[in-house]
Amino acid sequence: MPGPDLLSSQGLRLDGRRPNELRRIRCKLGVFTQPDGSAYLEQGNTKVLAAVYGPHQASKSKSSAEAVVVNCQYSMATFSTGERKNRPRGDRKSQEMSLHLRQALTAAIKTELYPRSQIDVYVEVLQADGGAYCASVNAACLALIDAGVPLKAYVCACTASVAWRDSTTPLVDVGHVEEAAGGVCLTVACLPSSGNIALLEMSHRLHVDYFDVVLSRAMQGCRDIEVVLDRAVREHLAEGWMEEDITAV
Amino acid sequence: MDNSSVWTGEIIMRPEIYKFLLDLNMVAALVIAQVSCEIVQPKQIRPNEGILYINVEVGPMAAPHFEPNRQTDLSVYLNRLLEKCFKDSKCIDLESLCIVVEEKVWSLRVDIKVLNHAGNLIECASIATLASIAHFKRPDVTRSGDSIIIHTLAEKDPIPTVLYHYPVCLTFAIFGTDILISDPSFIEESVCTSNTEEGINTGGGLLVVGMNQYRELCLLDLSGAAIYSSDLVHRAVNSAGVRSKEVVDLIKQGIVSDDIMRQKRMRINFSDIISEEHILSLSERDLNICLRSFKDNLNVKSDDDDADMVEDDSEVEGPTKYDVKSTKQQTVETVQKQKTSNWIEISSESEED
Repeated sequence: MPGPDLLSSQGLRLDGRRPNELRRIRCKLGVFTQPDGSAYLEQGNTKVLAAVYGPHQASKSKSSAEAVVVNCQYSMATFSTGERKNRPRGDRKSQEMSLHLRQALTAAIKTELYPRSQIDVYVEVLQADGGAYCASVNAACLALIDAGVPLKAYVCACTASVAWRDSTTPLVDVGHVEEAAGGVCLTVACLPSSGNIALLEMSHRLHVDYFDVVLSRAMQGCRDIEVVLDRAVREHLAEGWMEEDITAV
Repeated sequence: MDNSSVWTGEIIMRPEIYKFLLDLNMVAALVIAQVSCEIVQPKQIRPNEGILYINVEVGPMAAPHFEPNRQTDLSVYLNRLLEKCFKDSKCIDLESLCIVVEEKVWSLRVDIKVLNHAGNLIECASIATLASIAHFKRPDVTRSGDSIIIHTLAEKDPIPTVLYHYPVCLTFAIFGTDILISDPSFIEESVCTSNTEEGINTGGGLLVVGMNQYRELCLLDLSGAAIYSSDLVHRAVNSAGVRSKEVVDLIKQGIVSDDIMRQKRMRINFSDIISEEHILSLSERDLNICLRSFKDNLNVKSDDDDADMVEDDSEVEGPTKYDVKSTKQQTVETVQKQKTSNWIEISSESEED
């Protein structure tokens, strides 16, 4: 299958990463005071803010007697993309993203604990440089943890693509340049600790024979991201204790 | 439980003059897809590419719980899936739809109306979309200097759309940990997705796999609860490879047989009744049909009664171009010749003003 050259002769990608290398992830929990939980996450140049309100009483129309209703809003800042966006939300793409976000988060939250209530998750993409959905899921997961919402496990999302140089090499954590070059892009949101897949999404074309390799690479990416997120949460909690001790005195 | 190849669909194509309609009757899920084309200015980022626009409408006709005039989650979901399936996989040669770079390109618009929701809407809609695009032919265009001439069907044969590959979306319902059902019905769909809303950890969901005839994945989408292992996805994808081939073959067959029928000037399905004016407006033709049969009955009783009747008589007796009887014996092309013989001209200069 002819495709764009995503790998150099040295086996490095367009932005200098190796095929199985993630972009640098930097994150911070508890960035806002008003929401119950919030997080800021950078994955390379993709920057995302997430805020969680709730669980609180659900509005009558949404209320479900069995489980909590997760309400997600995905919006992209007008300055987030190369070309200025006219509508930060409400277009089909971001509506779809909101749906996908809800799907991934619902799979992770212990929804049965809060019947007749609602959790609001607001995600704002400040800069989109590929993998905005993944960064949103990861940030929302951190925000949920910050809010103290009981989760079954971490939910992480990661993309994977394929390079066709010499042999087929799966690439993890696809950047904007690679996305725009027209390669395949498989997005997976999963609970890495149990291996459950919460969301699968793919665009462009990929032959079935290579599907398994790409999927496993994306799952591996999710596991790697989980480690990073877990460390960030632990650091944040340690930090929190120290600060609280100081203010208490 | 993996019962592939249960698909028993029927594709009905309805020939028309400029519009090509297509009905898809899958067990009971019913979708109508229609492709229309117009000339527009291309987008600035892609000045040499035509535009494909897909619009899905889900109205209260399909199922009682759909609200009219609202973009529901379902319609957004269907829309995006179809867009991903057809636009992102680049199955249509959009560059061939270009007429003048940066000025004029063809814009294909696919309107899909869901008539009956009996489960597996996305598969139904995707087959309808694919078949209608494959069946669609746009009028030929020639450029002479600055002006562009759009030829009517009588003057030049219309051009079919170029498709690189034929992607179809196939749905699998997942129950529990390892049960996979292809082509789920409405009840199966609602059972497997409702698990999640109740918060029971049974796991179940809908997996949509878009695949073309070369066993290339074009789309993947999972909704509902989390699934337990990637093994399930693997099985679904493999089974989709077989089914997609069958479906694509069926579509191709339908298009070929439709083409043969056209060349033989055979009248299929409702093409006798359907023609441009019928579907677009309640123009005189409908009225004339009524009055004609009406007149025959009345003539037996009373020859010259009302002034109105006389007026109707004169209208019907003359060989009008709306006469139904005469059209029946003629071919579509000859009717077209009678009606519109002049060329439609668009001058690029006049539009710039």
